[in-house]
Amino acid sequence: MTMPIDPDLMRDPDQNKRRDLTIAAAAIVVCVVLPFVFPNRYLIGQGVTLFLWVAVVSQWNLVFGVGGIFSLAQLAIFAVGGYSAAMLALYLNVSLWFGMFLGGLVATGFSLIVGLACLRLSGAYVALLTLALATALQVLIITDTTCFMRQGVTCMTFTGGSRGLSRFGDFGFTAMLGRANAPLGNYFLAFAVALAAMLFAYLVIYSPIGLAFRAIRDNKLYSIGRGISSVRFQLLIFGASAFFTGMAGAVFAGHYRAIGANILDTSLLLFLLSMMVIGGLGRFWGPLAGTTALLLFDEAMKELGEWRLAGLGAILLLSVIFMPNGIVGLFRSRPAAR
Amino acid sequence: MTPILEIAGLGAGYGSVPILHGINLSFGAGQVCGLVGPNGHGKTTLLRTISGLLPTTRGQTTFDGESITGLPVHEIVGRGVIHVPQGDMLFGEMSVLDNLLVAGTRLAATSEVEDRLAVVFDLLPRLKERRFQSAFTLSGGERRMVAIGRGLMAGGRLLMLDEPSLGLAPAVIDEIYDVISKLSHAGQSVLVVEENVTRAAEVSDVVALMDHGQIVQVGAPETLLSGLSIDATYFGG
Amino acid sequence: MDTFIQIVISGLVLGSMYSVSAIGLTLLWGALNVLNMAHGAFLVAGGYAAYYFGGYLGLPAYVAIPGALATGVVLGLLVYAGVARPLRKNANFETTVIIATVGVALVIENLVQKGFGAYPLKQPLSLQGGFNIAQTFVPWNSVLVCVVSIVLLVLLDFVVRKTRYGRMIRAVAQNYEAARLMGIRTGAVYRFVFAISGLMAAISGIMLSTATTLSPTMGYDPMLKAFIVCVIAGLGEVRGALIAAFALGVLEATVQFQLGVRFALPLLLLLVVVTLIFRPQGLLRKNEASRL
Ligand SMILES: Nc1ncnc2c1ncn2[C@@H]1O[C@H](COP(=O)(O)OP(=O)(O)O)[C@@H](O)[C@H]1O
Ligand SMILES: [Mg+2]
Repeated sequence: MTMPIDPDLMRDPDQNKRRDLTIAAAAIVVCVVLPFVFPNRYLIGQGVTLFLWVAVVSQWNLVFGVGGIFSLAQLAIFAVGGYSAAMLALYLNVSLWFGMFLGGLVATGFSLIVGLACLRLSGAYVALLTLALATALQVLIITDTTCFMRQGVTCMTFTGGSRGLSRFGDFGFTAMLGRANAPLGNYFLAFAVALAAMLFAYLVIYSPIGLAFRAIRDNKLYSIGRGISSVRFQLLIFGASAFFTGMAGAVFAGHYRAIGANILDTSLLLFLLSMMVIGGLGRFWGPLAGTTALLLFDEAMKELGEWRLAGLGAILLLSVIFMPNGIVGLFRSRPAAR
Repeated sequence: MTPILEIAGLGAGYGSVPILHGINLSFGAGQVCGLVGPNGHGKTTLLRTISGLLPTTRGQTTFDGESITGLPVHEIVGRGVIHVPQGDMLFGEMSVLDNLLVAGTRLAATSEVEDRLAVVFDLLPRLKERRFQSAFTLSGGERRMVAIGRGLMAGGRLLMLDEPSLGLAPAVIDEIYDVISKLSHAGQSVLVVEENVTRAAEVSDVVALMDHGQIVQVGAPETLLSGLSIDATYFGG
Repeated sequence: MDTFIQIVISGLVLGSMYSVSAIGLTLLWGALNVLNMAHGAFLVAGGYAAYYFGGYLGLPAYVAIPGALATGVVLGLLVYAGVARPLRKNANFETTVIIATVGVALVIENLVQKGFGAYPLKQPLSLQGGFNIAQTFVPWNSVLVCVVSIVLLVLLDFVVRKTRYGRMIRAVAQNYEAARLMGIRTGAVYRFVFAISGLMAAISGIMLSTATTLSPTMGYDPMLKAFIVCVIAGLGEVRGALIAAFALGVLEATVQFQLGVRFALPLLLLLVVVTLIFRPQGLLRKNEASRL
C-alpha cells in the first residue's frame, strides 16, 4: 500500500511568495534610491560593506544553515576569490571584471576541495578542520617572505605577505563615471553581486534540492533511507555556495584596491558568523537581517568602541539561547517547520 | 496485599504524538508480570514512562504504595524501579565489572557493593569469569546477562526487563529465562516485556496484552493463551 | 648536541603546557560533546586572576593560586549552568554550544581587557633562576611547569579510570540513557566535568603566564594547540592527549629549530587536516566508537 503524498509536505511552510516579493521590492528600491538621496561617501562605503557581507553570509547560510554543515571556511573561500582576482590582475594583467568571474571559479574549486576533505566528518569535526585550513592559509600568507618579483628596489612576495597585495588597479569606475561618482560604481557592483547571491540562495532554499538539503540536515538516517546521497549533495552545496562568495572577494579587492591576510582574521569570521546566527540560520531573509543588524550594532558601538567585543559576544550568546531562529524567526506566525 | 506496581490511566508519547492511551495495570510484590504484544504497540514506551525517561502526560504510577509519577529518573531508580532497556545499552568500552560497579554507584558502603556483587556473580557465574573483559567483546547472551546483572546491582525491587530474548538463539533464551525464574523463586518482582507469548507465559504469574497503546486483557497465562484476543492482535483478525 | 638538548627541553615545556589545556578540552568533549570555544578565555581568566590576587592585592602565592584555580572552576560551572544546560535539549547541541561559547569567550576577553588593559603584564608568581645542562639554560619555572603538569595528568587519568566519579563520567559519555537508568545524576556529572575543565584551564593559564607574559589574547594560541592535540589524539582521549601533547611539543620545537618558526604552525595544522580526513577518530585510538 502506498501513502498518497500530502501536498503540504511538498510545499515549504516558510515560503510565502507574496511576502518575499514585497520585501525584496522594498529593499531594492531603498538600496537604489538611498545613495542618491544621501550622496554621502561614508554611507556609500558602508553600503558596499553591507552588500559584500550579505553576499558572503547568504552563501555561508546555504552550507551551515540549510546544509547543516558547520564549515568555518567561508572567509577563506572569500579570500581565495579576492586573492585570485588580485593576482591575475597584478601578474597577468587580467582585468578585474574578468578576474571577478575567474575568482569565483577558483573559489568554487577551492571550496570543492574543502568539501571533499569534510566528506566523512560532521559537527564539531568539520568546524575544526575548516578552521585549521583557514588558519593555515593565513599563517602561510603572513609569513611568506620569499622573493617572487622585484619592484624597483623592493622585493615582492607572491602572496604579498603580511603587507597584502595592492596596485593591481580597480574596476575603472573613475574613468567611466568620473571621480565624484566612482564610489557609486562600486556601490552598485556590490549591490548586483549581493542581489545575485540572494537570488541564488532563494532558488536553492526553495528548490527540491533545498528541501533535500534540509532533509539531510534534519535527519541523516531518514535521507539515507530515502536514497538521498548526502555525499553528492554535500559537494554540490560546497561548490554552489562558493562562486558568489569568491566574486564578492574580488569586488572587495577592487573596492579597496588592496587585499590582505587580515580578512582571514578570526575576529572577522566570528563577526560574520554572528550575522548568520542572529539573522536566523537556514532562513532566506536571515543573512540580510543579520548583516544589517550587526552593521547597525557596530555603528552604535562606535561610541562605546571598547565594549564592542563584549556586546557582540553577549548578543551571540543570548540569541543562541533565547532566539534560536534568529531575528527572522521572531516574525513568523507559524511554528518552525521541523 | 498492596501491589508492587499500580498504573492507572497512564498516557505518554513522543512530542505531540500520543502513544499510550490510558494504561491500567497492576500486580503484586514477588510476582512476575508478562507484558506481551506485537512490535510497535508501545511496550517500550510504557517502560520508559514508568522509569521517568519520558514524561507522563496523564494518569498515575504508584510503586509500593507511593506515587512515582513525574519524579526524576534517578529518584525512581533510587526507590528501586530498575529498567533494563531493550538492546542492553551496555557501557561498551568498560569491563564487565565496571559496568556492574557503575550500577552500584548509589550504594554508599563498599561492603554493600561487595555483597551485591557476590549475589550477582552467584546468579550469573559467567560474569565472574568474564569480569575483566570489555563489554563490547562479549557474546549476545553474555551481554544480556551483564544488562540483567547491572539491573540487580542497581538494587531493583522491581526489575523491568525489555525483551530479554531479543536477538538470542533458543538455547541462550532458555538460559536467560532460567535466570528469570530463579529470580522469581527468590521473591523478586519482575515486569517482563516479550513478543514471544509462550516464553512470557512460562515465567509469569500474570500476563497483560498490549494493543495500540492500551492494555486490552489481563489474566493468568493459561486463560490468556487459550483466548482468542491474542490471535486477533497478532494476525490482524 | 646543544640543539638536541634545547629541542628536548623546549619540546617538554611546550608539551606540558599543551597537555594540561588539551585535557580540559578533551574531557568536556568526551563526556558531553561540548567543544568549548571559551577554553582559551578560561586560560586568560586563570592567568589574570593569579595576577590580580598575587600582584595587585599582593596576597601570598598559597592564597593567590587557589584563588585563581577557584576562578577557573567557577567559570566552568557558570558556562555549564548558563550555556550547556539550557542548550542541552537543542537538536543541534553540538554546533549551538560552539557558537554560544564563542560568545562567552568574547565577553571574557573584553572584560579582562577593560579591567587590566591591553598591554602585556608580567606574572609575579613565577620562579626565578635556573641551572645549566651542557650550555643550555633551564629555568626552574620550566621544570616546575613540567612536573606540575605530569603529576596533574597522571592524577586525572587515575580519577577517570579508577574512581567512582571517573566511572560515572565514562558511563555518561558512553551511554547517556543507560547511565540515567542506572541512577546516575547526569547533571551532577556534567557539573563535575565542567568544574575540572575550568580548573585545568586555570592551571594552564597560570603556567603559561609564568613562562611568557599576560595579555588578554594569550589564550588563543594555546587553545588552537590544544585543539590540534585533541584532534590528533582523538577527541575525548585523555591518555592519548597526554602523549600527543608531548609528541607535538617536541615536533614543534624540532621544526622551529630545524626548518624555522614559520613552518611550525602550518605543519601542525596540516597534520590536523590529514588526520581528520583519513583518521577522524584520531591517531591514538583503537576503534571509532570509543569514548573516554
Ligand atoms: N523516539 C521515538 N520518537 C517517536 N516515536 C517513537 C519513538 N520511539 C518509538 N516511537 C513510536 O512509538 C510507538 C511504540 O513504540 P515502542 O514503544 O518502541 O513499541 P514496542 O516496544 O511495543 O515495540 C511506535 O509506533 C514507534 O514508532
Ligand atoms: Mg520495544
